[in-house]
Amino acid sequence: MPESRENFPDGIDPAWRGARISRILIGKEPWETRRSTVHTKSGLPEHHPEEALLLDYAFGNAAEAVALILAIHLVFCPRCRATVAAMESAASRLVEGLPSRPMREAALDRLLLRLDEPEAVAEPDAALGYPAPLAAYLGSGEQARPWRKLGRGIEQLVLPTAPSATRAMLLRVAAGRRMPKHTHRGNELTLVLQGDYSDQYGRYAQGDFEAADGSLTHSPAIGKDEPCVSLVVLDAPLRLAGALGRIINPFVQL
Amino acid sequence: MSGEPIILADLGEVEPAALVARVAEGADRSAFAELFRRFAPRLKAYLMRLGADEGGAEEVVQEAMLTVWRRAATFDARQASVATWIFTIARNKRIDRFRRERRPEFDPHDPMLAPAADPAPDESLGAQQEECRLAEALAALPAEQADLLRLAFFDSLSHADIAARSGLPLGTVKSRVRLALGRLRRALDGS
Repeated sequence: MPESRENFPDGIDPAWRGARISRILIGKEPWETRRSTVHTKSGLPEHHPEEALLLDYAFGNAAEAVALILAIHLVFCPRCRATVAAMESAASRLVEGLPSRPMREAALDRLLLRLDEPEAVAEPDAALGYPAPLAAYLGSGEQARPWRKLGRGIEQLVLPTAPSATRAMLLRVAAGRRMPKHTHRGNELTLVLQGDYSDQYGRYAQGDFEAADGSLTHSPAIGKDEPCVSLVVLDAPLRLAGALGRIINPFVQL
Repeated sequence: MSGEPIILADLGEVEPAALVARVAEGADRSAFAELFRRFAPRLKAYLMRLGADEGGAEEVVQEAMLTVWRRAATFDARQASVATWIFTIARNKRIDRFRRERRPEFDPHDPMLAPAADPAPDESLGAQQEECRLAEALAALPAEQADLLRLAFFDSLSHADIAARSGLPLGTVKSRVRLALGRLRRALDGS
């Protein structure tokens, strides 16, 4: 049994936090999976995005899908939040160094008249229970976006980011499976939301971030005990490696 | 609305965080007007420096400052200075408006947020003090690192764009960012 919630700084037991994600992403209570999330590591990620990516995010230069995967990593990672905060402070200093541009006359008066306007409700159908940045993309109820089966134990849910070469999708892969061996034409960013996988660089569990490019060929192996749900961002289609890769159709859709 | 003039108190000496608190707690229009006077012209300069025309910049500033009014209660002086908080709001409004994209942002009140370990009280610098140290470290960066940050910021270039345009190897760009950040972090850690 998890310990009392009072033992955790924000009142949320990390195991419970994992359990909630389990319930939502794989439709099962954590005790229905053989190895419940109680056994995940202390909750803090061990694999982080590079500083250059965090800089893109902090300065507002990351593509939407990239900003999304980084924002979700930040939910799980106080260390990278501190890094982004430092970069945002630096950006703010750069702004303060600019010669100021006086606002047009009456700009303040016009704004004061708007202060009592009711606020438009911008996010009508955010799904509950996901990390907030992801929830906004999933919709809920009737508008929940569907999973699509790709075969070989792989399911995919494409997220509605603005049209761009860079796309974001959730991938759910059954326990014990191995992703087809592949390399990358562009960049592949992966963030684990539930479960875990391993490749030659290590084991990746909730909150862990991996970046791969054309120099890396890998065949991630999903942990034996539960499905692995991850957010994947691609800026070019994957390239399958080896003879087996070429005959695996579904994967080409990624 | 009537044309009744709004009489605003003189708050020129009040700290920005205290102004935000007055907006949050008392919907204080005078405090909000003072925040607008101090920050709106800088935001406008930022937006125009990044390529907005004057009318577009003014509209984004209006949207950003309206968000400051509505979200004042979410400002946390332990996390950031007022200037940085307002900058992040304007940055996100700019992306919404000029790139027509959503800006995914983590929510500090997300129940799933993994908490940071609390520093011992005497170790934790106030956000204001941190930013002073950070400003010093920023001013002391080697030119190649400072130039890279300015290019990324003022020309809205991702690190990959910078590598493609400058002809610098991607690895060089990444390592300069890493070195610059190391210096900024060390300044904040006080070592």
